[in-house]
Amino acid sequence: MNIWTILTHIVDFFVLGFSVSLTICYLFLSCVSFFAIRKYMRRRSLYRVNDIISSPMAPSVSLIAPAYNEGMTIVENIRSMLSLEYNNYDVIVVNDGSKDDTLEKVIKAFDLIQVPLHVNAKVSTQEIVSVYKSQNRSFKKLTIVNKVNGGKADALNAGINVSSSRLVACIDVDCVLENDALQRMVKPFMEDSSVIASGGVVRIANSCEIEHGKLINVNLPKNMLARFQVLEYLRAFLLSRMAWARLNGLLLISGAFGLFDRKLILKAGGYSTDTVGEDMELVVRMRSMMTRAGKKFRVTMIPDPLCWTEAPSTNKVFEKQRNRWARGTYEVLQKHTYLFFNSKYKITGLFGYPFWFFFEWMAPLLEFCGAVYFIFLLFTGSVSWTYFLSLLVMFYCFSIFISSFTLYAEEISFYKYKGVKDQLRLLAAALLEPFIYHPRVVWASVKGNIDILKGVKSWGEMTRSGFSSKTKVAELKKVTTISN
Amino acid sequence: MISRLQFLEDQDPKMIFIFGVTVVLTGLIIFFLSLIIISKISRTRDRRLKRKYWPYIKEHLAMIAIQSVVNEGVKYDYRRSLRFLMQIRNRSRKIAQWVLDEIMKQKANLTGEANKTMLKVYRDLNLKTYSLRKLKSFNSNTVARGIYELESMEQRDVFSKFYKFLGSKNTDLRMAARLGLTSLAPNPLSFLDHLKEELSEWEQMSIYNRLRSKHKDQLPDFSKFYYHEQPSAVAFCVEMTVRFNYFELIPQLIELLKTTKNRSMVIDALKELEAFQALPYVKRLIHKSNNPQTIISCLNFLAHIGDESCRSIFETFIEHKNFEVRMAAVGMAAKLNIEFESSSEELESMLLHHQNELIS
Repeated sequence: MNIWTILTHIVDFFVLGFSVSLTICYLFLSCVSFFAIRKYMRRRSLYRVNDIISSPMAPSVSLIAPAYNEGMTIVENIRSMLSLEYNNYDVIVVNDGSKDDTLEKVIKAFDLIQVPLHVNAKVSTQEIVSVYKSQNRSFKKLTIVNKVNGGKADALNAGINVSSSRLVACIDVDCVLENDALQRMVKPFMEDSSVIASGGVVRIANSCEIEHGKLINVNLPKNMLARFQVLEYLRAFLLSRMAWARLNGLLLISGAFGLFDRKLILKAGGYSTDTVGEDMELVVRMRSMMTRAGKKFRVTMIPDPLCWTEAPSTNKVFEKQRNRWARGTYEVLQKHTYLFFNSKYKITGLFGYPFWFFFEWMAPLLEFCGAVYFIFLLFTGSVSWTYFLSLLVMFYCFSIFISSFTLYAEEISFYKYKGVKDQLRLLAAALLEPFIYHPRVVWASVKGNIDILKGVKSWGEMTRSGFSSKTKVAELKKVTTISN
Repeated sequence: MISRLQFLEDQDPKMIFIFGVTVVLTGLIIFFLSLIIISKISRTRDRRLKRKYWPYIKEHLAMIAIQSVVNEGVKYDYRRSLRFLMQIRNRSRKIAQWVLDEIMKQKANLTGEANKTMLKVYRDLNLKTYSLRKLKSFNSNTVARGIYELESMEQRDVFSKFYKFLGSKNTDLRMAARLGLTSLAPNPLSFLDHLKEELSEWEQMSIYNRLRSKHKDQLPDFSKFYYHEQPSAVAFCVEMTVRFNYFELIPQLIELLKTTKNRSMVIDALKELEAFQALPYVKRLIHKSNNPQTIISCLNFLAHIGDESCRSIFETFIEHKNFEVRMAAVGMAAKLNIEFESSSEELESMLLHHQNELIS
């Protein structure tokens, strides 16, 4: 047996071992997630979540939304945030040094004046230039913070400093929240005093009908790339995160919508400004802090679709987003290497961190290496086609299994895509995904890792095409009529 | 079958393994796809059934409600509608549950005579037996659902059946039993005698919502639980004292202030009740306490109830190391119109903050 054969055998067994552990992990997560969703759905009928709307005992919540160059949609987005069904909340929009007319538009639309709000900067941020409140009592919940540009994390920190509520909901300003989003998110905090953070399921809003910042009709995206992402988001939230939350090992709460205990965020030092994965970094840091302090804690997840966001629909934007996610994952993992198989940190150290390391960060790199290795074998003419095809079929079956479980989880839970046609389209997307979509994800991730080596730190611009809105269509018609 | 798998004998173990995993995964795919199809079929069947019966259920219940208010031709319409609902109810358990759900929904939305009529329909359709049967289930969620139904339909004679569930291992069932007892038992907080665990905020809110619908005579004596072993139960009862404006319990609250560990909670309650009697105690306490939260509560209390004589207190705490304490001290000064010369930029800024109407 020469070295070459030994090497091939080692690679073979490594690939096989890796794929087996991946399969076992996902099978286990699927089981956990299934029982978690079923339990949640059963419990759901026993509670009257609406009780909280008018209750004076509802905990106070600050909705913090950083805005940067959002002039086009900011007014409508704020109106949407102000109309949520919850009794005790305020909205803090942080204008992060926008270069466009974001601030002017908001001042005009909501009749704002500057106020001498005294801010205790518990977390250091870029300078807060001014704070505005509305003179109109209808908008008394609204506070606008105008600050020097410092990035999303810095803006969120400024908002947290300004807030005096017990809980803070950190959201993307362009997200569409369901009316009862806060009621549902607050519930875990009220049920269990050890809950330190809670995440909501984020869904794709492309092709959905949105009117005045409210979701009117749920549609499956017409764009194929966005449709693949629907499936991917369902998988990430309903399967993976639900299971991790059940096991109390959740490391990531999406930056699009998450609710946190304000005092604990401040104690942990707020969002980190030196990473592009600030949402995950904060959760990991809070978890480590609580474990070190020897306190009982929980990070929960609500399977209800509470937040709708626009997914990238062009390859360029999609690649930028995934590149950033890959860099963010690496930065967080690198920052918290002490967690790796560290039994002191219990499930975070023994399972959560290694899972992210092997299956979220390393898996795409290994896949890429596998592809390069295959091409090499192809050139040397040493491909074992039977083995290769068998592996390919196994991975394909694995992918379809995960997707079919996700579709079933969606079917028994919230059932947002009602038509049979939509279900068939999703199934078709699941069948095509491993060939069309997955390679793109892997490639973007590899590029992200190359960018890490290059030292790239930027967010990259995220251009959005906007929601399909009745209002927008009406406005467009009006403009056309006038110009005619 | 075995002979068909003979071809695997000569294969590499890796190949056999891959084959095995692929077969398992394929089986799982088929299983989940079948489940999706079954779920779809059952949903479509339900939808069809609902489309068939739902309008009638709604229509007859609405008719009964209207007739009870109009009070003409009640007997005839009531009997006819009841007969119809009974026929529907007997078709299947699922439909009976729909009828029950709709009655509960209608009852929650109606008041006065119409509300009472819904109770009558519930009784006449013998749905109570249906709810009671759920209490015997082995599934905790089903039992909790049964309690919820009986509670919503105000079946006061069955409340004693809920006590046995107070010790259940299932959190939801324990909570359902407590809420059921709050609504139906003559002594709404009787379950507190058995309480060993923390009363969650959610539960506190739900209990408060149920107590709100009661007449003041039916409300319990909250001071009875001021010395409960569970701090959450004490906190809840203090909160309820404020929410229901029990001014007569101020002496007991002042007494509690001397012994409890959570002083800030009691001071906040005294502030809400505008308890002038507590002023000397609070003035004394603020100098003794090292806990910033207690000091803040005292300062807020004094801002609400105090007078010019609190100037010395303000001067003591204006230089406190804790930001929130300093902020509360300036807030008190602003509220009581205590004039002072702001020695620092921070004080000036805090004062402007408190004086601004839009912020405060």
